[in-house]
Amino acid sequence: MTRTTPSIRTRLSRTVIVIALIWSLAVTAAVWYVIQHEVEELLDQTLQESAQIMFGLLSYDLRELPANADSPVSMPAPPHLERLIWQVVDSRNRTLLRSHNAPVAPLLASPTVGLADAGDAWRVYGMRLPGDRKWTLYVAQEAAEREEASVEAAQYTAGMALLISLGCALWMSYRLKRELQPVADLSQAVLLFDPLGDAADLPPVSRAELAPMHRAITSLGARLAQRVANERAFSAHAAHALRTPLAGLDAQLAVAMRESPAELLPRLTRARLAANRLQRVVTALLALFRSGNSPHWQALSLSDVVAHLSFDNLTISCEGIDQIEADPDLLAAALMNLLDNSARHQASHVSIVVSQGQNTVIQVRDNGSGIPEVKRLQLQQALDAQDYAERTGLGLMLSDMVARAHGGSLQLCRENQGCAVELHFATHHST
Amino acid sequence: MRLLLLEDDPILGEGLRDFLRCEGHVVDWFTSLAELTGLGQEPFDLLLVDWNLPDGSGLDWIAALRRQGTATPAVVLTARDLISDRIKGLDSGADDYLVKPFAPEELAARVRAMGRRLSGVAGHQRIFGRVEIDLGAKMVRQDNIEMELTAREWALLEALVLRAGRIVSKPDLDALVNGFEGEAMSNTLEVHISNLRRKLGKELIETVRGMGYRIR
Repeated sequence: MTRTTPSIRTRLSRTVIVIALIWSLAVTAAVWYVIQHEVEELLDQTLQESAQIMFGLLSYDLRELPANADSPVSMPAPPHLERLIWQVVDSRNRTLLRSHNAPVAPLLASPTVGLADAGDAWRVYGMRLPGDRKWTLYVAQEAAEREEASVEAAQYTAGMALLISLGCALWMSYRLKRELQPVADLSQAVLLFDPLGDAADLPPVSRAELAPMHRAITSLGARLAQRVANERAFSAHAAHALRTPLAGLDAQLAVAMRESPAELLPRLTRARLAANRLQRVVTALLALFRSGNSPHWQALSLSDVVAHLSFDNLTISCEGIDQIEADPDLLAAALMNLLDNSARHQASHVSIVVSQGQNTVIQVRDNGSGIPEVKRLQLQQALDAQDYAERTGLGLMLSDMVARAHGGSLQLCRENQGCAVELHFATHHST
Repeated sequence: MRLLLLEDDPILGEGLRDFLRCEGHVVDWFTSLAELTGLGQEPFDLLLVDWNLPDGSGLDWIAALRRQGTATPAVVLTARDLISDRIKGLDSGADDYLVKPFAPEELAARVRAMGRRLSGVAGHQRIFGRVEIDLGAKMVRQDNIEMELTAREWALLEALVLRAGRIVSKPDLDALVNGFEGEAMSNTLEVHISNLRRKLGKELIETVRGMGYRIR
């Protein structure tokens, strides 16, 4: 199962959203705390102020107030929803006078001065009226009304905080996208950046934070270009230093075979075969080393390439498509090594079949001793993982590297008899 | 064929020289451009030239020869295997390009191919009256009877056949058959011509008085 690499933008966006939510809750809690104290205080003050107004009005002439507790008088009022109610009770806590919506029963169990709660229903403020009769004025506000005011204040605050937070989160997400765009631009520039080519350097970055990365990539490219240049120079020198002596060795052996007595001929033949194998390996290594995994694609005739790969005691036939696109030297190096493997595994005939679909597939099939299935699976596993060390021979390793240089892979086919190896090359279209 | 081999590597140069001599060619081996000064109009059938030489470029030397009007075919022998190198080599005036390491047998085959082109005939076989000459198999038949020739006689016959219809001077013939390392042959040239005429018929080789010999 492939694990998706986390995105900086997604992670930061998530963080911003979480922070916004926490911030909203914190603000709501703070507002709730403030309301509990300040709004309650404000409402209590309102009660007190109202009581004081009532006190003033009622104190104007207490003698005019009715004093019959058996039938408390309800003060006339236009029809309306009464938010504040009031009562006047006597010293025995009997209701004498009340607002039209106030209950007949006294709000508190005994005459009380100051703020008090009448159960869960009312918040009451009591004031003693002047005079000897010890009457008490109650002004009350519904507790539910007060709670509703507090809750609504908290809800509006939380809603607005949340809305603002979400707005901020969206804005932050947008800004993140904009701010991360230079990173995407740099990635695209790096994708197109070829330190070995003639193209100019990386374009300058638009954010200071990216400057170190820009410098690092440019420096890496310069080091890479220098290393490749050194390797190419080395490759050219090595090619000359190795190819000429190899040619000389072969020429000397060829002459020796003609001049030597018959009894020495088998030994010289073996020596020349070994020299030829050495030539092939060196040629393949030089081709790979020189290519630096950048094949020189060109249209070629496979039969022409194969015609230059002669092996004693091995017949080679080419079938299928003949014209393909590949690096001729690398292809020759790969085929050379695969044919060498076939020759060393008792094959007498090799057929090379080319087919083209999504990829170009060059199948090299021989009639040699083949590979046991367990060994084949082990080799394929090593090739797939590019774990060549001590697991594959040089021939398969080189061939796999050639296939990979062409954007493909090497496949060892399951065969009942002989061995079949497939070089898969990505289809290349000449521009 | 008389070949000029320009190769600075002693092991390869010696090996190629001896191998090509085994093939019946006359090989003059040089290891530097400096050794070529003074060759003048020395006749060669083919030039085998290494690109990188201690005192210069073999390609530049070929290019200079072409500018002077020398048309002797040339094969470049080099360790440079890039396509651009091959193009450069052929564009400089070389007729063929062989990348090291190569089998000497392949070089010998290319020399034979050059010989065919030199004579202007597609195959190896040449027929002059009753005489049939196979340059590839190095075989001569007269009236379908195979004739035995010495190495010198074969070299002489091949030099004339490759220039069939043209007059070959005695000094050139001597050089083509003998090279620089061979014994002075001017006094024995007539002897070998006489032997060839005796074996293959008087009419095969024509003497052009005061100029040389011709076969046609």
